[in-house]
Order: sequence, then structure tokens, then C-alpha cells
Amino acid sequence: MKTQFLTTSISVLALSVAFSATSAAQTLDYTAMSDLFGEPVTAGATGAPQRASDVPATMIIITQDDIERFPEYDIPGVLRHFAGVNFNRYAFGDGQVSIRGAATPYTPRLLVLVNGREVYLDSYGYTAWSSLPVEMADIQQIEVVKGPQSALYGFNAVAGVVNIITRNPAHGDYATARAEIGTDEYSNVSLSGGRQFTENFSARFSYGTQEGNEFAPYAPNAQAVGIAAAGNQFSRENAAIAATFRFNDKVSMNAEVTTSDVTLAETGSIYLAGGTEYDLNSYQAGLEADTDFGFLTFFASRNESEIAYNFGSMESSITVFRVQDLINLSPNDTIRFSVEYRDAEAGSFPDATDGDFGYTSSALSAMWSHKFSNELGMTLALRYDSVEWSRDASPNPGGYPFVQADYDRSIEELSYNAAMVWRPEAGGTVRFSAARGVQAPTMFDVGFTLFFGTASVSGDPSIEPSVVTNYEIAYDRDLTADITLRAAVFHQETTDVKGGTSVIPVVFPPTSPVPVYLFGNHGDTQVSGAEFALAGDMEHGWNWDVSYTYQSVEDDLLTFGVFTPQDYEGATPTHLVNAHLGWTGGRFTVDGYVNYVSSVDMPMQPAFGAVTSEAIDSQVALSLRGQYDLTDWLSVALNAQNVNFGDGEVTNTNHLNESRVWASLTSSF
Amino acid sequence: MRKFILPALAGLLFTTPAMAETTQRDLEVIGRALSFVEGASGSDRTVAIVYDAASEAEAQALASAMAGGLSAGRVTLNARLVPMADSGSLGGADAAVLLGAAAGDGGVFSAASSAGVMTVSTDMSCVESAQCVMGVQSAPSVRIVVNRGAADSSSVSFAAAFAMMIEEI
Repeated sequence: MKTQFLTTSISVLALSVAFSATSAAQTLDYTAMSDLFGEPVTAGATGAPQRASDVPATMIIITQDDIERFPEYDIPGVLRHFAGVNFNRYAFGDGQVSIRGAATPYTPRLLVLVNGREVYLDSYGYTAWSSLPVEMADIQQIEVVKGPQSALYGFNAVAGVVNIITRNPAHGDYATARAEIGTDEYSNVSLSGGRQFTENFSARFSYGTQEGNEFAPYAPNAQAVGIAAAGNQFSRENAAIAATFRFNDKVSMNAEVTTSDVTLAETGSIYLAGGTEYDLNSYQAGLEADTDFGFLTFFASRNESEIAYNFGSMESSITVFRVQDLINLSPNDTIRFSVEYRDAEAGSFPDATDGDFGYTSSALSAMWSHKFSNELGMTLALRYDSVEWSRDASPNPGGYPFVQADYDRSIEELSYNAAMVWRPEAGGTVRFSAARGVQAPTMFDVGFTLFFGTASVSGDPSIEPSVVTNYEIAYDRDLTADITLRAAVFHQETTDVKGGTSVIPVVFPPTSPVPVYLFGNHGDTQVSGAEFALAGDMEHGWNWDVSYTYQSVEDDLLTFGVFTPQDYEGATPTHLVNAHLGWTGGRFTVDGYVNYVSSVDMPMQPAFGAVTSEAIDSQVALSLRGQYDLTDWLSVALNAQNVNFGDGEVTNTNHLNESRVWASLTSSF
Repeated sequence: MRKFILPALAGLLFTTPAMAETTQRDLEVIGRALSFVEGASGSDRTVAIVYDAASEAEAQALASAMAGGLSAGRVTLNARLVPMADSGSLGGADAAVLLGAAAGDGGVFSAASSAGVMTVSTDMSCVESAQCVMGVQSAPSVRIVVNRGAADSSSVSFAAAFAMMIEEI
């Protein structure tokens, strides 16, 4: 049974603001906790450890056992099977995910973290999922929190948050080796393991290498066809090593280093096909202390990236420091304070001589939970961010309308999350929530400079953040001992949409030396909808789940194809349906999945400055997986993804989606 | 997919007890909760079963369930039967499960707390009256209540993450 949770326990609300997602993710013994309470546990909804049935947010929790049963080779593929999740695979390694609204290329609205560290590429504003330094077999669980979460997680958590938690050897030694081979030259080797060397010291590692042919390009897209002709091979290699040292029962510290190297075909945020190489490294460390002054968490991380887009290379880094403290004022009241500092830098990009640029930001946040009674509780969270942009020099005066002083820009924003939770006598849990999230300008939005003689493409230092406001009512209930219902209705408004570059030049001489294609805010959009999910277990090893999502989008954007390449109203499918039937018996496990996506009208930019719209028919995808356990530690599996797609199904305007079949041999200890 | 139904299955394998009696499923919850008591090391936990005359059969049944060691997550529970009148001999135990009149008896709690032994009962009135450190309910869903005052007087503390997922009074 897939596990999706919507609600809140009043009792836990009073204690629900303790840990940062980072600290809780590293200290929480998920296996022991879930065995104790008889359900998954999470720190993803509020930052505090909670039972899944208690969380004050609409969540999906996907456990390692769930992940193993999907015929999917990456995380976006796993996420597509859940209610409220929009998915599109723009190329073999370019799966994109959004919550409640189209999974547009380089989806910018979903904040993704691995063990509490942001892997969202702050420089351009998206997540390159294939670059995540995580092996599927090394994941403890994936937590998806729906709706804006900026008050807890900061900028860019506007459609939701995906927090990926890896296994922790402090809670048990493990080792997994997996080899896969499949059609279209697919291969994958994955190694991961962890060990508690002493009572106070544990460490883990993971390594993976994956290759495969890219999908065929969508024929009317000349840019995609050209990219495919230049190279048609996906490759990914990544590694991670981490360690935890416990000083005593109250104090521990952890550190992690990761690297990933990926080459793949992609679609950029303005529906322009590209081929990209990622070289990413990260470093993080944390210290946790349970003191008389509350639960203190210190966290630091640094992400370094070198990304070679087909229009130029970018080097950037972001360093984060965070301190927070939780104080239990009384059994009914808990408060949390947090301070965060960020320093983000980018080299002049893509033109290399226009001055390096970046920002520093400071944030203060606080949360208060109050329990009125066992039936009624409330959680409020506020966060204030102050951002200061700057540039080292003026861009080439022959190409751009901006000088260095224009980049001295300050942004101040307030985010909030508010939830009221009610457990009526009639049963189930009802949650009312409202939130304001902020999507910050990226390095591209502000500082991009590309001059090609007669015109230029430029970021806009005066661009405004997008603000997302969300209202939601959710209800969940166990209909029987074996069947659960999860439901939610929502309305979400986004103002000052950051839509990427304009399709035509919008600044002309004499205001600028040459015509300029400008990044900017392209209007407003809103989405309303509902989602329903049923899941159940049956006798004799059968389990099932089914979900339906309805989405209605209304855009108020600049003229499509002229001033903006964005069309959320056209690109968002109105109906999403997922279904799954699984069976386990003896050493066999068999699963079948169906995914329906209704028709859309999707933008396409087959050449820069030439934006059109293509009708994409509705699709039904059928996927199958069967596993046989040869021994307690060795298994074989056959995965068939989108078996009815054959050599190509049109699901977007970049690449076809093809049927892929692969076999897996997995050894786990 | 739901590994967490295992405790429930384990409970089904055990003879259904009379209402309010402590079951093997309760014991498993207690054992897993013991994993989060600070200061303990190793995987073996000694659980004293403190009983009165009326609950002797229940105590014997629990001791039988733990015969040879009852695995509960990452710890193994070993029983020590302690008549209520002998509660002064609780030293060395990791926890004391209070049955019958022992749950709520001030003398038993005093003896246990002075020995630094965590007291636990499935009778929630025991924890509510501060005569037990922990109250446990395993069905229909798991509920764990800790009395902060009783825990302090017994010198018992819990891992912070665990403390945030239970009810505290």
C-alpha cells in the first residue's frame, strides 16, 4: 500500500517544531521508529520528528520497500505514481516533477534536498535529478511535502519540498550491490554500504555509474534533433561518503562529501533543447546538541558546480550556515528560532568578462505550535529573508543596458505557514492551511549576459520574486483496517511569475546599445484542484492503490510566443490517474502500474526566438515488474517501463518516451 | 510495503488476552521504546514484571512470552518476575512492567524510582497519576504517554527524537 498522509495529530503539534529537517534526518532512526509506532515517521513536514499520521501537511512518504517495487531507474519516475504529482520525462535522464501544476522543463518550483542539503540548483533555479549523488538502493525514504513551505525551508519551496533521506549505518550495518542491464544499451552498477565501526563512530558510502541511449528527439523540434545528432548517450557517475561521530548521548556531529558527473540531453526552462554536462561537488557538516537551552542544531554546507550548457559554461557555489533552537515552553506550547546565512557566487556567465556576481542573504524564522485541546491545534511559522545582490563590474557597455550599480539590489520577503487541525468525533482528521511561499530570482534571472553582436540576452537585476499563496483543506481517514482514504482540495495563486527570457527583444536602442532579450516577470497564474487516493491491502499478499488528481489552471500572462514562452494553462494536464496492483507470495513479488495523463498544449522552441505550441495527446503508460528472491540476500528482477510506448510515445515537445526493459541482480546484506 | 504491520501480526499470533491485560504486543512496544532510553548500552534489557496476587497468571504469561529472550527491534527482553511485596529488589532492571495493583502503588513506584528503574504500565491511570514513568497502549494504534515528573524522579530520560513523538504530561 502506498502511503500518503495529509493530517495532523494535535498531541504532536505541540512538539512538532523541534529539529531542522537536516538534524532530524540524520538522527532519526526511521526503521526503529516506524516499527515502534506501526507507521512511517518523518521530519519533513515541520522539521520535527513525527508519525506519518500526525503531520500537519499533505505528504507522501515513500519507503525503501516502496521504491524497490517500482520499475523505475530514477527518483522522478518513482514520484509520478502518486496523487498530485505532475511528471514529464523530457529526455532519458531529464525527468521533471512538480506538485499541483505542470512539470515544466527545469521545473523551478520544487525544492529538493538530500539529507537536508539543498540539491536544487540555486544558480538557474531547478533540480537536475540525474545529478543527485544518491543511489536508489541507498535511500531510506523519500518525503514529499505539498504546497509552499518557505517559512520552514526558505526560498523556492513553493510547489512543495522533496526530502531524500539516505540510510544511516548508526542504526544498523548494511551493504547493497546491484547490477542492471537492459535494452538500448542501458547499464547500471550501484554499490552502497554503511557500518557502525564503534559505538560512537559510523560511516557510509555509495557509488553508482549508469549509462543508456537517449530517447529519440521529437521530430518537429529542430533543436532537439540537432542536439541528438551531436551525441545520444546518457551517462552518470556519482559517489558519496559520510560519517557520524557521537560525543555522548547529547551531542553528535556528522559530515558528508559528494560528487557527481553527468552528461545528458535536457530541455531548458524556455522549452529550448540542450545537451548538458554537470560536475557537482558538495560538502556538509552538522552538530546537534540536546542542551538545557533547547535542542540546538548547527549546520553548514557548500555546493560547488561546474555546468556546461550548450550555450556556455557556468561555475557557481553556494555556502549555507544555519543555527536553530527549539524550546518547549509547556506541554501545549513550543517555539523554535532559526538564523540562516547564505553566500552565493557565480562567475560571469556565459560571457566571461562581464563581472562575477552573487548574493548574500540572512534569514530569521520562528515557529509556534499551540494545542488548544486533544481535538484542536494550531501551528504558525514565519520567516523573514533579506537578500543583497552585487556585481564585481559593469557588463560590456556595448551589449547591455545595465551598469554595475544596477546590480546592487536588495530583496526583503516574508513567508508564512499556518495550519489549524481538527479531529471531529465523526472520525478522520481535517486540516485547514494557508501559506505564502517565495521563489527568489536566480543567478540567471539577475546576472545572465550573452552578447552575440547584433543583440544580447540579459538577466534583469530589477526582477521581482514570484510569490505563491496556497489555501488547502485536507481530509484523511481509515475507511477500514486495511483501506485508507486521503483527499485534498486546494487553490494556489502565483504572482510575478519568473518566465525566463522573453521570446523577442524587449529593450531597444537608445535604452540599450542593442536589442535585448530580457529575463523577467511574465504575469500571474493560478491553479485550483483536488486529489483523492485510496490504498488497501488484501488477503493472500495482494495490495493496491488508486489515485485521481484534477487541476484547473488560469493564466494571466504576457502574450504567449511573443513576450513569454510559458503557458501553464495549456501545459498542465487536467486529469491524472494512477493505479497499482501488487502481489507477494513466497519468493515472488509482482507489480503492475498504470499512469494516465490527459492531453495538453505544450510550448516548443525549436530554435531560439521561435516559440510555438504543440498538441500532446493523452497517454496511458503501463509498467510491470517481477522479482524472484534466489536467497535471502540475492534477488533478480525484470523491469518493463512504459511497455506500451514501444519505440516512442509523444509526451512532450523535446523527446519521445520509449519503452525500456532491464534486468536487475541485487545482493543485499 | 508496510513493514510496520509486523508488530500487529506478532500480536495476532499471541493468545488474545483479557481486556486491560498486558499483551505480548504491548511488551514489544515497551521493548522498542526501551531502545530510546538514554544511558543504556548493549542489546539485552532486563524487564521486571511486578505483580500482585490477582495478576500472577498474567505475569507468568508475560514471563513465558519472554522465555529465552523476546526480540523487540534492536533489543532482547529478558523477564524477571518480582512479587509486589519484593519491589525493593528491582535494582539492576532496565524497566519494570507494573501489573494489577502494582500499577498505581506508591511504594512500588518509590522503590523503582529510587533504583533508577523505568516503570511502565498499560493502565494509563498509572502514568496519569505519576505512579509510572510510561503508559503504553498498543491497539488500535500505538500510544505512548510519559509523565515528565515521574521520569525526572526516576532519573530516566529519552532520546530527543523519541520524546518529540510521544505524549508528555
